[in-house]
Amino acid sequence: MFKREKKTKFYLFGGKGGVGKTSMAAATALYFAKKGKKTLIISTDPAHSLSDSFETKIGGEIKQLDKNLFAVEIDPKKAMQEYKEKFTPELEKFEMLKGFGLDETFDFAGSTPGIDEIAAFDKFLQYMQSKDYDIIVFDTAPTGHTLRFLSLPDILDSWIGKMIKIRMKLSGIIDTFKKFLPFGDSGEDKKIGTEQLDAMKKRIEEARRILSDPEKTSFNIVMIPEAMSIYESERALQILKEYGIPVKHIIVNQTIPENPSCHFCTARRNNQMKRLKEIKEKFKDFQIKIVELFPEEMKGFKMLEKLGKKLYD
Amino acid sequence: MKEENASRISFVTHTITGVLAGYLSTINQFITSISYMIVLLLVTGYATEFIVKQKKGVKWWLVNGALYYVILWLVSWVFFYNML
Repeated sequence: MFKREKKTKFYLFGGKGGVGKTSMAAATALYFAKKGKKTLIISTDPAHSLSDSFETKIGGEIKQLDKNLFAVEIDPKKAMQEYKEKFTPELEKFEMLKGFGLDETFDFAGSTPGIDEIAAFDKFLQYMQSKDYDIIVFDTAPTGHTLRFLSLPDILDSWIGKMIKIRMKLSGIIDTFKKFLPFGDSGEDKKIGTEQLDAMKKRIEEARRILSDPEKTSFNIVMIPEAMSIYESERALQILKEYGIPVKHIIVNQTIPENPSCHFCTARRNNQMKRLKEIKEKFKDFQIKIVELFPEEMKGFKMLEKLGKKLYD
Repeated sequence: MKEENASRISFVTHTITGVLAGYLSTINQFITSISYMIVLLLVTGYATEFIVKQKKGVKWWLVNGALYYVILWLVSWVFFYNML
């Protein structure tokens, strides 16, 4: 029997800090898991709050939270450690490096600015190409960090492209030189060095294809009906459009419910209604979902289930 | 030819010629010595390739022959320079 290949769908949640991205992502993951879909929720935010949302310790390894629900928090430090383990056997071939202290060499490489982000992005790519889940939900970091994260395919692609070109040029010179040496021109070793770069390039291209496919990916912008959040979401939308990442839903969170007996609540609500009108005008091309502020704190399975139903039923 | 035998042959030929190159270096000037060393290394390499009859690659030659040759050339050069 052939095993049917799963068509994984990806849900990404982004927005300004503190608007409720984690709650929305967690509620979405739980909703689909309860519907019988095998779901994985991944936090790419370096300041993880997924564990707090589900009220259980998650960590850097995939953990099963419910029958169909799995979760993981990408830890840049752990991802960097895995990078180190992946490349140490390769480096051990070079005896000379041992003399200088292999760990020191790697500590130096590991302290390059942005390397933890690249290691985390590599993890992100691994999960993106996973065929084990029906739904993968990404709880991303606040807008600026996420947009930088999503721009990494472009940056890495251009960097890897240049690296491959340099490697090819160098190997051309070395191969010519090798022909004059004994045992030269054996035909082996020619691809060594570019294989890993080629594989990384392919993974980036695949991730880019998935991210820009509206059938597979849905980026949801979470905001609150306040000016600052609206402006930031507008900017984020513009940048996402440039990257070709399709945005499906705009989720307006924390709207205050009607309560005529509370003057403060009424004043806040009136202000939010004005902003809501502005949101409906500015984002008329998108599906807007309005979520009212809950009287209870949004954490734990029970509350997340309630939120999931509000969002999708 | 077995891998072990090929390595042994390469080791022996490069060791002998390495010592020989070290001795020859003592009777010449520095630049000439270096040139002799390189020429003799290449000749030894091609001779080993002819004996082994396998294209094992430059890396294999560097690890199994050239490295020993260079070390022994240097050591024996210093040794003969001081002894003779």
